[in-house]
Amino acid sequence: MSRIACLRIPRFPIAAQLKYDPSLKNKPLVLVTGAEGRKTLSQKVLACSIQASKEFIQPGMRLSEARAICGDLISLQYDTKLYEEAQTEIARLLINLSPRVSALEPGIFLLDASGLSHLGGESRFATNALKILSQLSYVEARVGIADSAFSASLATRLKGRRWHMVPQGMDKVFIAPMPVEYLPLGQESVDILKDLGIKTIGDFAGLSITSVAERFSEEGRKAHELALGLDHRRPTLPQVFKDRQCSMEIGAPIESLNQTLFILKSLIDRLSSDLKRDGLCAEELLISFFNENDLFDERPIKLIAPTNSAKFLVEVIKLSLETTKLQREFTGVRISVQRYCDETWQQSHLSVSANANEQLELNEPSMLLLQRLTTRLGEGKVVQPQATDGYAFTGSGCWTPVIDTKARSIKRTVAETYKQSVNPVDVDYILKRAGAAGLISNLVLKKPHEPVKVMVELKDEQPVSLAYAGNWYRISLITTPECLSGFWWDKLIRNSYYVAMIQPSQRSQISESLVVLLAKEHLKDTWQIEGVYD
Amino acid sequence: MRVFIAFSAVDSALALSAGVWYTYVWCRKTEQYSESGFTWLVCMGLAVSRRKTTRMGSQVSVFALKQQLEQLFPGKWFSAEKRHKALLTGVAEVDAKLVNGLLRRRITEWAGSISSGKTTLLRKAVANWCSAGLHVAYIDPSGRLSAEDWAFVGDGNFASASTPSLVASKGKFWVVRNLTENPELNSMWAAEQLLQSQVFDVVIFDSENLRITSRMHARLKRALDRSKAALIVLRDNNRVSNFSNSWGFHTQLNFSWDLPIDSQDGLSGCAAFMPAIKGIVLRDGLSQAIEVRGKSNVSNSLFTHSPIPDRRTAKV
Repeated sequence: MSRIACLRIPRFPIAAQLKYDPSLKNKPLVLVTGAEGRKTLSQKVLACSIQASKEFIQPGMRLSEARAICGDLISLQYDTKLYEEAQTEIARLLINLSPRVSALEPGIFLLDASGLSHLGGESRFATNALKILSQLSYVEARVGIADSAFSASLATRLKGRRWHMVPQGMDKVFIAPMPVEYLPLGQESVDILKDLGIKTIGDFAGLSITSVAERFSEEGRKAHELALGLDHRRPTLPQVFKDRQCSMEIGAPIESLNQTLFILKSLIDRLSSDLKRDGLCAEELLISFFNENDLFDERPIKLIAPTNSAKFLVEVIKLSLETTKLQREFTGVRISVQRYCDETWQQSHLSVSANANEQLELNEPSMLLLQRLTTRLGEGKVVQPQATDGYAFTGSGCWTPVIDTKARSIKRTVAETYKQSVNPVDVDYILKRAGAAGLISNLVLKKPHEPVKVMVELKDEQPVSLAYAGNWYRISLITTPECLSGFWWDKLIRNSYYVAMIQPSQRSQISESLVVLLAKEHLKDTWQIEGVYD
Repeated sequence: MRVFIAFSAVDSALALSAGVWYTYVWCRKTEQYSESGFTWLVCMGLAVSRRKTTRMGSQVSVFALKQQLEQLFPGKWFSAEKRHKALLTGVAEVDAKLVNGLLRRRITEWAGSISSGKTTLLRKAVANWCSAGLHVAYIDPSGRLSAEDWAFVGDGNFASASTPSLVASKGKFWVVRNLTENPELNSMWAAEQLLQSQVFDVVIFDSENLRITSRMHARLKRALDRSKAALIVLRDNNRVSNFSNSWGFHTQLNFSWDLPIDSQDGLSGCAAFMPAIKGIVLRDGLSQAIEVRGKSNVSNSLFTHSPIPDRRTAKV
């Protein structure tokens, strides 16, 4: 009979994070959902450290709630890539113990533990596994060995025991007194079972399969099989882990761009052919330059779309080198693929972040252009205008990036997708009244970075002249004010907006009249020009 | 020999019929039935056909005839599709003076004082191009544009009922904006990249107060030589800039408000402006005046109201 070992690292993401940054040890730490670089209190807690748990912080809480409980709480973004890398590292070392190793969940590994009698027995196997994990700083790991994967995983949950071996053929007996919460059932189903007086796995196994399937459908049927000790999951042969990187040591130092590109091109060609052979596309590259083993330049290059085209990659690297020149000559270079994904054999369509209905077809010139602009100017500089619901002057439109690489990476790291809050606009009124041309019939407003404070002269509470940019202007025509207030949930405004035509005074050397958006801020009792109509 | 003569005869007949056909079409379009003009056109068709038949096929003859007619009567010989693809602004008053529209691979200066209505007119043109399936890029180094003003440009909402819909897909409208680091250098570089990429049909470079030097002009020209796009340099003619009148543009359009500005009265005073924009088109040494009347302004703020955000979901 086959024997399966299960290896569990409790709070694996936290453990991986602490290994990555040991300064966080013994501090209340939570891992939260959310966008890169943006922290808001509505983010959800996905995992928490022991210290945070002692403060009654639990996964599923909002960050604002957690912060209210614990003021010293440290919150970090849930970094799937970091945990995947840590998992890969552990699996590589566990191959020394068993030829079959597979990761069940983050921090849970299944190993083939059959035929260990000549290798010191199962106890020795367990201690060796724990020794390997301790060397990797995962000192809280536990091992369980049983006939099935489910029983082995339950064996790792026993309190106060680093390892536990379930005797052969005793799986059903072992799991029978365990609580039903350990079964893969939803909370609602578990509550129903408890209400029915079924509190242990043994009680659940005593139910007939037909009644369980009728009441709990497929989910219940699978759980029932596990309760009977039937688990078909087995550790498999591990995937071939391959470093997607190329490096080159050069005899003499190199400084010129052309020579650098020549070397990089040969590396990229090799990397590209490797990726193509394995049906993969690069999403992010990391180029490291060395001078006599001294790493002096490291530049990550995020690609706007996954690709394995050598020509495209060389273009991007060239642009990066042109934009940020190397500080000194180098004698060695390494290119590694930081992120990659499976190659898709379909026309490249990248959905525009804001509007799911519209899709932007990116052919090669467009993609190259976008990559060039993004590499040199930074992300979020190439945008498209989009209408959004709102009555404030700045609230009825927003700029959305043509390609949102941040959104893509977030989608990869966290299952939840975060979209920019664009509310659909109802334009029926405009279309009926003024036709399609009415949508663009207003004057174009050009806004300065900050509104310009102006001094306004009033007559009968009506503005008649103002001082703007060092000159006095007479207000020759002004509309009745559009009074807008609200946004108490964000930043309260209470403004009166006027469209005014202002003419320079006769003493001024300026002759042009201006049409401006004049606003009175009632909360501060000030006047400002928020933009010029052009 | 007999075969060659037969071919020549067929070619001549084809060319002649093509000349007559184009003359007929032109007469129908322009509604000008001049007997002498008709005869002259037919003769020209014959001349072209005789010259060409011995060398090339009838198609070349027709093409040459079409080209010569186009030179003589510009803008009258576009097919419907070609007319739609031409860079006509869609503003009738401007198109009447800009024969054949804006030229590709040329620089057009779109100028006016800081507040003159030039960008409003330009937006109309951009909406027209996008609705015709042409792609437009706008470089806004200081990030002065408001998204709400341009939101209905790119998706082709502007396509009017009178314009035949000859294109299935709408043109895209991209804006390169907020170039905070080294804006002069980066905006120039962005303009070159957009022109050379062969992706866009029109590139608008908002130069603001930037002085375009001869070196910059040379760079733009070089980029245009490898491009299919038309470059529009949007320029503020304010008191700070000291441009020379001609810095190498092919066409110049200069706009200003036509005073006094009309207004629309509401219940308790002036409710909206209905500005008129006047301008001067300068091309090939000729200047022509234009005037575009404004229409009633319907503000975007009449749509709906901002909902209070749902705090239960993650805020972006």
